[in-house]
Amino acid sequence: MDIGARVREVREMIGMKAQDLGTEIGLDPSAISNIERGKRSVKGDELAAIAKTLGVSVLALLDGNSLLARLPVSPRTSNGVMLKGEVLERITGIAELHEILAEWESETLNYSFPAVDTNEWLDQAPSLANWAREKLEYSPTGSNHFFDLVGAIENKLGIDVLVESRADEDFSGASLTDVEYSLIYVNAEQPITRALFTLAHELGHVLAQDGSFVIDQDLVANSDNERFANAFAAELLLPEQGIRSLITSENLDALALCSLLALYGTSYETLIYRLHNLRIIDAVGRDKLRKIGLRGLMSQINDGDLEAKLFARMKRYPTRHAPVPLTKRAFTGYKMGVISSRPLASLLGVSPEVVTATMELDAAAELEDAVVSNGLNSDSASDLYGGSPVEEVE
Amino acid sequence: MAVPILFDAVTIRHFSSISRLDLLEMCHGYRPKPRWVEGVRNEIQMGDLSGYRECRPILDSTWFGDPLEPEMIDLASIAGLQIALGNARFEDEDKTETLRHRGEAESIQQALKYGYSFVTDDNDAHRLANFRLGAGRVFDTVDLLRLAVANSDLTSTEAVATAHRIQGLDRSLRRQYERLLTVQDFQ
Repeated sequence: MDIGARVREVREMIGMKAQDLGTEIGLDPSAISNIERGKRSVKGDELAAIAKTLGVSVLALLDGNSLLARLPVSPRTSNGVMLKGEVLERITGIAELHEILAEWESETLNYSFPAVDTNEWLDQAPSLANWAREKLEYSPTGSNHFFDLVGAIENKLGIDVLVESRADEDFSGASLTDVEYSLIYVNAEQPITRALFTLAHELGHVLAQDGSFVIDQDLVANSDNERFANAFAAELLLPEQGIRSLITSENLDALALCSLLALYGTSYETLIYRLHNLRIIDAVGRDKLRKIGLRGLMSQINDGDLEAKLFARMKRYPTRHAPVPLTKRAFTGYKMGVISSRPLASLLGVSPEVVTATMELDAAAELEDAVVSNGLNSDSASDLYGGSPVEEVE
Repeated sequence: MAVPILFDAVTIRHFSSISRLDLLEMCHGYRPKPRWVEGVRNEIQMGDLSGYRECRPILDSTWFGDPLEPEMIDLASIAGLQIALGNARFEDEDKTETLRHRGEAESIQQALKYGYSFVTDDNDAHRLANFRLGAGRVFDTVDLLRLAVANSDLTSTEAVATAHRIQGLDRSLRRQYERLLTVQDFQ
């Protein structure tokens, strides 16, 4: 497909009239029509303006088969709410960087995940979670739950994870799922216990390869894909076997619940959600626990250390984390002259001057190490996995 | 035969800001055109519209001639270079600026395609061009002044004074010349 036909395709996809596109970029409607029909060549600056107006990367117009062309043109959350586009913009920038680096790299990324049918989410999610736990060598009872999982996803699966604050947009996480490149994006503007579930939920989307791009606002399960991602995350973080060995309907009390939270590092809301979908509690019990809230629960235990630990975790937020696999590729790309300091600086969250000055001092390895190692920084199955596992509970 | 040399907007504006565009002509007038690319002229036109006074004399000058226009087939490589140079998506201050680094990307791509040389004072563009074009084909303002001294168009004292005038206007030379330049730099 030539550039003109691609411009028309994207323009029609977003429902924009040729006249409006022309007005926006200062071109006569007939010029747009001629460009789209291949009767007039398009200049570089015109193409950039067209891409900007249509909200896509120039690369998406130049190559209809590229990763960028597969990104959606209208950013919506999983609930269908239109976003301002900041998240899509950020992911588009990262996908562009991937494309530029990949062009020079001799090896392509090769993801290998089990085939999943998300229509069979109730059966498939736990088995995929077990596969993932083994592949990731991830223990849900480790000491640094969130960043342990981030590290395992990047090291064992080669999937990039970006964690950064996006106070400007109401979203929990997003995932880019593509055979060519996958990325998980977690908003650091949420407590680390909640971010943990978001991370696992987005991993579920990526492993299920269930669509090119998902932005999750509140993780409410309103489709099989979302229910699958929630069920996957619940089993990965709170494995049924482990939970059942520690708690039953009979011994469920405040201390047991608080101990589970300390052990698995999830939020209180996620734990309630999990106990419900494992049928350890019913909907009435779930609502009761929500009403009591974590603070209410903590007031009932007589264990100062445990209380302090849970309280501290409630107040903790994830630090910024640059996607390590992509950052390593970008370092190599910088050293080879494929990219300048600016895209690398953007990934690392530092100024281009810091990157250049450090490289000139031949301290690149130290910078790379520093950045990469410290983590830049009457219930049906649908009901059990419905609702939101991260909904705020007082 | 002399090879055309493509000038980046930042370097042309350096010389125009001290009213010494004639130095470019003096040193490189013998080279065949083109002397700039469309993206660089666009940047200078935008600068003129934004009220940067050094841009108008550049647009009025006939010496630069018609800019080199990339062909459709070049657009993908140019877009790739623009991303590599850090297009607006990577910079927080203005995510909507589509022209950012466009002139440098076009210049490098066209220099690569036609075997031309390139002059820029942008650190990143200079470094990237060095990798892509090879070291002997990428220059900066200090190189131009050194050539002017070598050609006896300027004395080394005049070259230092010229560089100081540019720096005095808060215009940046490449990082390695952030220090105060001396006569020794031009001997």
